[in-house]
Amino acid sequence: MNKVSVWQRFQMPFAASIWLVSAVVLLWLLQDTESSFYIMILFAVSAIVFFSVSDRAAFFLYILLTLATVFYFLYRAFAEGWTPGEQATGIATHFLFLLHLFALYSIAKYVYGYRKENSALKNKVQELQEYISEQGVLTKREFEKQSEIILSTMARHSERGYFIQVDLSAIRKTARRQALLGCSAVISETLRKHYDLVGKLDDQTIVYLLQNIQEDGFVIVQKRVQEALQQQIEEDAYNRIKWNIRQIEGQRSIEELLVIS
Amino acid sequence: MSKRLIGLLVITGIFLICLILAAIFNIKIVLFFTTALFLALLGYYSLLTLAGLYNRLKGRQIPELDHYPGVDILIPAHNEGVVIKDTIEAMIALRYPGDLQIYVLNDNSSDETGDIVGDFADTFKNVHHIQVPPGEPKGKSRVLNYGLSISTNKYYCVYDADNQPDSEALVKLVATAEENEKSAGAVGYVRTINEKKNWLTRMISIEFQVFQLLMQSGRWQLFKTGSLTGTNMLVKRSVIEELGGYDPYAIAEDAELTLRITRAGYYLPVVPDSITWEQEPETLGVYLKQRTRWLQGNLYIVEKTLTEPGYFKGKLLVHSIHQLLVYVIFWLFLIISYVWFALGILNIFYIEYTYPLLFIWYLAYIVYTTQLFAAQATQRTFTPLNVFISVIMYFTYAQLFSYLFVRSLILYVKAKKNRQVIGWDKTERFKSKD
Repeated sequence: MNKVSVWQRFQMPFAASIWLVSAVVLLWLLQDTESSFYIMILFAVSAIVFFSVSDRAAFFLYILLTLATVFYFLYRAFAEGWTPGEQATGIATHFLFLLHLFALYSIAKYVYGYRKENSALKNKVQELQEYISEQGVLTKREFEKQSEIILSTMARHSERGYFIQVDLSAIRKTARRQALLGCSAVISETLRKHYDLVGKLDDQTIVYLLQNIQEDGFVIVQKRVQEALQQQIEEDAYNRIKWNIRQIEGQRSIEELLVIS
Repeated sequence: MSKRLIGLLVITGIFLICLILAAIFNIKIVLFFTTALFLALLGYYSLLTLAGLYNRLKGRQIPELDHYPGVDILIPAHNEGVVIKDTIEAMIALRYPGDLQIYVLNDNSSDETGDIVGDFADTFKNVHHIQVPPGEPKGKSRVLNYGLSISTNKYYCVYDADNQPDSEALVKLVATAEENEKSAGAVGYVRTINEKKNWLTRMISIEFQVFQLLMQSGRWQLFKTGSLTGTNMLVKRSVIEELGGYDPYAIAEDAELTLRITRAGYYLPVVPDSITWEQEPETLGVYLKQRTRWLQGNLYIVEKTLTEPGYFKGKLLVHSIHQLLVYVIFWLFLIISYVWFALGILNIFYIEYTYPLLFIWYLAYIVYTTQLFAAQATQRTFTPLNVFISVIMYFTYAQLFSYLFVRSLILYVKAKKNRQVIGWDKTERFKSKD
């Protein structure tokens, strides 16, 4: 489980404190001005809007408000002929206003984030499968687990099948990792989905298991796999691949097949 | 020297004389003029920020094609042994339903680049190791021209030798380019792979998010025009052939080609979801060297814009004005403000004025920082450290621009005076941690 960092733990209280302090300071600074009422309304409306839209829309509003208010302050500075002192006060007030808005946006974003994360995690738990790639190539552990179930069923029904090891150790070291990924994807695409299994045994070996298949069928499948590989891999590299084919006749685990072969 | 250049120099001279006379007799006119221009500049960039943000937030569906045309990937490589293996692996992992050929254009590398590329070429049918014959002028443009001469597919896509595109990057570019017949290709987005290395790489990454993504998206939203990024960019072969290939003397070949493509009336759609990951300089020395080269390349384009006809028409106006705003007007303001500040500090020069200049400075800071925030929000790269870095970037990273510009200008003028060809300077790579 991921550890929650100190920042993650304190981000909400931190943002809330800034939001509150900046609001109090701003209202205190502007209490005697005629615009204080409108500023309070602006704060309230921003808070409602930020929490009711997505975090992206809230951010767009934050940027829009930032730019609109800074240009409005500039207009006031021109119109009222602000002295350098008044400009400094204007800058401080505007900066405080931005800080307040940013704290508000941050809180809204965290809330939105938690909501979304919660829903995504729920979906993920349901969908979680131990694939090493989108193509359906299994990890060694998952391959062993799934093949054990299939082998037991095959043994019970006296079905035949094939277990094939594709050894890429003779392929040039630099290109081997990519060749392994490429070949396993090709093999997976060629075989029957949700029926045959493809897995990665180690960094240089791909394995696949064909269930309930006779010799004639196996020859056809194997030819198809090899043709698909030859389309992607150079002839010399293809010739370096070592094949180890083992017919399944009642074995109940991958270990048995590996030991005998 | 062309007549156009002489005319331009005369106009610049007259403008400067007018400026000095105005400063002597009525400084307020100068102040009014520069303030108005500067505010217009800030207004334009604020508008671009909002348009870019809107474009990014509304999102866009990328279509699926019935038929995907052939694409040649061109990777110029000169002594890229440190990074080339990761790059080729990423290229092979690209998911593309059509014909895809990968050409690594080895520009006389003396390190292990050739051996690594050779291993891949001997293993994969669509990886080709191409030895580029030696020649002048040195640089990416000449290498790409050679790559174009030996490849044949309908599109070509350029990736720098340190790039690792996402597996869907190319298919998104092609699908977008095929949407409109007038598209010259499509432009993706470049992200920083070593962003977390140090503060410099973080700042570069944030800068890229602003200028390569937010501003690009803003220009596309407002003017339907984009610019090539040098890498992760797809171009139709027929278009580059019509334009006569790359200008071998252009150091910023992407910006230069953008102008010619736009002048010819083609679109360059921006595809922010097509992402490639690139390594950025990890030390200040490497950064300064790289940016000096880029700025010299942009000065070459400014010169071309001002001295060759046709750069101020139609959509090209957007690019030409952008070049002039950034590399002429903005820089001029910067210098004037520095000189003014220094003279004021030394009590040599003082102006009685009524404009709220202090607030205008604050406005500039807010517009700049807002752009940084906006870009990060669209990419979801907001972290407390990135927010802090954005707040200080104006006072640190952005100030390097003045130094870099002066440095590049001096080197550029020197090279012009001595009639030298400005050399292509390779950016030093760093070994990534696996």
